Amino acid sequence: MNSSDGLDASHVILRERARRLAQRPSDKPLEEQIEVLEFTLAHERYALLASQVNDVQPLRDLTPLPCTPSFLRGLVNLRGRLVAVIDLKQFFGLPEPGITDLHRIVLLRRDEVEIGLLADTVEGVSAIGKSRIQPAPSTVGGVAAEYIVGVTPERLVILDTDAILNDPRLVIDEDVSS
Amino acid sequence: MNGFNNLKTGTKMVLGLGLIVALLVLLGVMAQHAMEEITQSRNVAVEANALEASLNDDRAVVLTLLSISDATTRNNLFDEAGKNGRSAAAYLQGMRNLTQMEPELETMIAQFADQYAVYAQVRDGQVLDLLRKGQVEAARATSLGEQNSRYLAMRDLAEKLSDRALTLGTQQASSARSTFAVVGVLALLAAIAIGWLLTRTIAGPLRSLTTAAERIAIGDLPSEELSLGRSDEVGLLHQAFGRMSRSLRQMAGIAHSISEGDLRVSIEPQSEHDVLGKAFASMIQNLRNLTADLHEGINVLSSSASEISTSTSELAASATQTAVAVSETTTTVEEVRQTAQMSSEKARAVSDSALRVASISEEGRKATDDTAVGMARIQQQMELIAESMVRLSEQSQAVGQIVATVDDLTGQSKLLAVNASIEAAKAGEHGKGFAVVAQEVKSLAEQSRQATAQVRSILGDIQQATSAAVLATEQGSHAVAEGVRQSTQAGQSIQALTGSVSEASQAAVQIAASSQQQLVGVDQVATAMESIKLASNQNVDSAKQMEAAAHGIKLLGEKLKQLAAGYRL
Repeated sequence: MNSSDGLDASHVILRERARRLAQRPSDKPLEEQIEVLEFTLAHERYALLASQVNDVQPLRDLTPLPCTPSFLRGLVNLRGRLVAVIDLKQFFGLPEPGITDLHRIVLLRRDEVEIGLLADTVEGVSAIGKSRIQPAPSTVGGVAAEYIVGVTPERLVILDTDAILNDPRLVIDEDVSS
Repeated sequence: MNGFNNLKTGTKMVLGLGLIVALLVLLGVMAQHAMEEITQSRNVAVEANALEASLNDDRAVVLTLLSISDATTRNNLFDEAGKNGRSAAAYLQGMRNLTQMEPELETMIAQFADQYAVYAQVRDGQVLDLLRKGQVEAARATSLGEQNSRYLAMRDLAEKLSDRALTLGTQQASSARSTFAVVGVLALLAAIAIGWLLTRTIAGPLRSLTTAAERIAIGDLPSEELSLGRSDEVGLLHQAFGRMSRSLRQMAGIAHSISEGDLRVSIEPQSEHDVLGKAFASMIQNLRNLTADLHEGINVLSSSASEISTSTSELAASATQTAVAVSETTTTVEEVRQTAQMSSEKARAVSDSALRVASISEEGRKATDDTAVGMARIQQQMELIAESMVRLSEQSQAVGQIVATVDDLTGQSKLLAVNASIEAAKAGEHGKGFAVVAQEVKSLAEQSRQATAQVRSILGDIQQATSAAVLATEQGSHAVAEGVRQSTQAGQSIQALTGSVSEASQAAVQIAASSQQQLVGVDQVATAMESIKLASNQNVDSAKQMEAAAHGIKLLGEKLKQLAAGYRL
């Protein structure tokens, strides 16, 4: 390798770095931001509003419930409370990779109703500028638009907690016909 | 004389010897007679002397009686006088008995007897009677008178008688000696004459016969007649000799004619015991057969000799060829000998190298023993390594468990950080700082997770490597076991090799010895071939000589044919 070429390359890098540092910060006031909890379902990135999430727990001691719809995976005992675990992939009709110990439960609470959403992985809480959230098309990755708040350019789907909690399918009243 | 000659020889002997014996017997009888006469004369002389002594004694007794008077002695003397008278009478009677043959002595004895009778009567009747009566003087007168003269006459007569008897005996002895001499000479002459006669009649003809037998013994058959004209044994012997001689001459004549080749003669045996005649007859018959056979044989011989001659010519040619072949073989044997010498040297070299190989294989055996020991040590080390690897595997398992725990803790930390972020978001503006801390915690948890993942991947690599090492150790252990087995096998092989090499060495030594013997043998063969060569050369010469000899036989056959033609059958 030619030494002059190496010198030229490092010179270009150093010049670029100097140009960026020389920029003056923007005078615009900081855009209003919302905080979302990001998780993945079938390799797709989804998010919930952090303010609406109670907490996140690891999936342990899942007890399946017979005579329930397939999206209701079962019940778990969290600190003495029974919490129903909803599988959004079943709920939304997404591909099913099965469940492991690595799954997490995102706990939601509304008016004494506490349910857990099964998530493949939980990425964490991040802040997103509201301007970046765009209305969702009719369906995104198989999820109906009625459950979606918006979509970021990074294909992060922000789900609507209220819509999910208010879904009539969650009210389960089934009999097992003898 | 002719009659004597015709007597048997035994009779002749008995006659001659009997004559001699008769002469000897006559001589003996004469001697006996003479001896008897001489003895009688001698006895008469003795008796006369004894009578004289008795007279003397008697006279002495009478005179003693005249002189003494003792009664006892006188009685004794009387008894003695009676005894003397009786003994004198006995002597006188004995003389009479003896002298019966001589008349002169007989008359003298009779004279003496007459006188003694008178004397005895006077003595007994007068003297002794008077003495008993004690008339000594009358007795003395009677005794000394006429009685004394009678006594003296009787003593002279007794002496004369004795002398006469002795003289007579001496005369008889001398006459007997001369008679013996004459008769002995006659007997000797008769014996000589008889001996000469017997010798002449027996030994003479036998001598002439002996001469004839000697001549016959040396083959000279006498042609003259041997007959003696006598009928005794000697004559018969002569006649038998003559017949034998004639027979022999006849046989000789026949033999002569046979010798001249005339086999047509015939012979009749003299008797059924004629051995020679029978033998001659069968000889002639056999000779006829033999000559006939001989004719045939000679014909065969002649043709055979021709064939032999041809064959010997061929034999000579083939002997020459054999000599050439033997010469070539001798050369070949010489080459073989050189080859055998070379092989002997090679065998010795092989023997030496086999000994070297034996020592090398011994070293190899020691080396494999050392290898086996080393392999055992390696096996122990491999077992130690395997144990270490197992321990390492267990420990990496433990590390994996620890990593899993750490991973779990990391997940929980991250979850806690997420929950903290959620709580901070709920707190709004007041929770901003807390949100930053929660973010930091989450970042740490993330880093921890990544580190754990790295540890896990490293641990996986370690486990893989450990498994590989365990496998490799296992394989190594197997390989070492195999190595031990193979080194044991190699040891055994080398052991067997040592044995084989030792045997090979012995075999090589034996081969060396054998090839040495072979060399000696080939030398002997070479010598033998030289001898054979000489012999075959001699064979060639002999074959040539045989050829000449066969030609000679052929000529001989021709000649024999001519000779056999000379025999007339």
